[in-house]
Amino acid sequence: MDDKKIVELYFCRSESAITSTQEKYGALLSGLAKKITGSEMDAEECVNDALLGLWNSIPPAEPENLRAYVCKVVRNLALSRLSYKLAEKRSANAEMPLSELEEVLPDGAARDALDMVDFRLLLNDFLAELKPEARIIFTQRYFFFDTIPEIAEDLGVSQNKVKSSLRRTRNKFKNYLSTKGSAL
Amino acid sequence: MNREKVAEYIGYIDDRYLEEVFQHKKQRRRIIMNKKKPVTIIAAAALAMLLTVSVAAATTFTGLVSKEEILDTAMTYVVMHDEDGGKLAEYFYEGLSYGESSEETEVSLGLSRLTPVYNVKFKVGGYEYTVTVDAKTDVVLDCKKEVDPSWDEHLKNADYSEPHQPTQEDIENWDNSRNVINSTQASLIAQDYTGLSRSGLYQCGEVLGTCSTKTIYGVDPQRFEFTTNHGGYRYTVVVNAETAEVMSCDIVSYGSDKGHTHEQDTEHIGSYDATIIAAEYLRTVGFEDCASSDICELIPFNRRTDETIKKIAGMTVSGFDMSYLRGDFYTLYYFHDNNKIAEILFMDAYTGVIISTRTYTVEPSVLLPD
Repeated sequence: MDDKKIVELYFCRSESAITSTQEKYGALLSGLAKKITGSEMDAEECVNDALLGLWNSIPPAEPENLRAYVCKVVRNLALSRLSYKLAEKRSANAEMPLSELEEVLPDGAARDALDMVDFRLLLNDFLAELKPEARIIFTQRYFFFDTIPEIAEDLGVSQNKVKSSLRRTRNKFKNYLSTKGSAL
Repeated sequence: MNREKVAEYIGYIDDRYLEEVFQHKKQRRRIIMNKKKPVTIIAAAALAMLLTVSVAAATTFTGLVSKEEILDTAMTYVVMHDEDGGKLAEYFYEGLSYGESSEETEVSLGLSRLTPVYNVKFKVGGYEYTVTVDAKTDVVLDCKKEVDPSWDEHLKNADYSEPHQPTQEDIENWDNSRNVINSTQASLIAQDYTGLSRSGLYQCGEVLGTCSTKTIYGVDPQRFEFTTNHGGYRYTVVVNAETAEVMSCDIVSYGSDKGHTHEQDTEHIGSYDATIIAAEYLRTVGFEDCASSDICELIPFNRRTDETIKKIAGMTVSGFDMSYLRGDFYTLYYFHDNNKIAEILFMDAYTGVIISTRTYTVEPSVLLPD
């Protein structure tokens, strides 16, 4: 079913909207949530929560890209769940990419400065400057938490190429943020 | 900076860049599928050529379908046409191939009315099947079923020990009158919850003593507990007998079971995902209305039981997982044209790539009542 029709179903308060969303994106969402939480049970609960979240948020929200929207909802829920789990059990899938990025983003005053600007604009302006392949690799790694081998297979390139692309992009991002941070 | 904050920041990535990834993945999947197809065709062609060369002396026996395909055809036929044949499918959940899942499998080439035919014999679930398949067209010509005399002995030697076998005192103190569902209904609820096949657990503990997808035993008056192995995971589900609700579901990865190594199974895509991919594939080849819940195995008996469960437990039976995991492959069915025609898909269980498809005309005798 077309995404627009699914959104219409949400607007009509038809319960088939949830079924259709699950039908169409259930696997994608489960996969994403499982990568982050590292647990199938948690992933399933995240997806269920996300579907409930969609039901509650649409309307008034009217996402233009339902797939991206629902992915963001699941990602946020899964990350929240992960933070509860961190003390007892860490999820290797999500931990590794986050720790890679942790070094890139500034701390202290610089971070406060970043908090004050619209980070959304900064991030997306930076991504717009990247070559498509580097951008896809970056997004797969840090938004979808795909592993290096998965990305390499998806792109049909070597794992080393993926690693070096990520390293270069992180360095660029770091420089970009420090430039923008000092400009503030 | 803490990781939650980092994750939150990256969550601001614009939709268009996420869409870029989706589109890229979609394209990549297409490329992989297109690459796989020629390989399959070439492999099939090579196999056919090899067979042709080997039997060139006898012109009658040229262009025969391979034995593997014939075995597949024969067993698929039994699974689809015979109610007891459904038990064959239960073995697939152990990651066994057709050949391994049945006992004493024999495939022999012969002639029937000047037509080369394969006679496929195998034993499963207490029956001995003899399926005659046209060796050139891969069409089933005849199927005979007899009671397997060795089955009683097999059952006698079966291991029925259960980890939570209730004591006699437990049984005497049970008050089953309070239960609203029986163990069969509970097993179906458990299967729906886990997304496993409806044939996976049903009566397995009672009939197939050595099947690892067994169990079905009440551990106390109020609940039923089930375990099953599937796709490298062991599912343990507890269902409340009074409310028909799933009380808990534990899914743990396992390494080996009953002497079978399942290490590779942990990399299988889930059967739920398999049905989603299958539905997506079918939509791209013209079955626009195909939903993953339509992908099924069509065992009429179980379908009817689902309806009963719906009424009793008031729950929605989604039917999202009706696929067979057979070794490295899923076999998935999609029925259309009023259930008269079935599209059968064979999927790589590791990558989700559709390896081959087959269109099957369903005999009127197996059509479901509405």
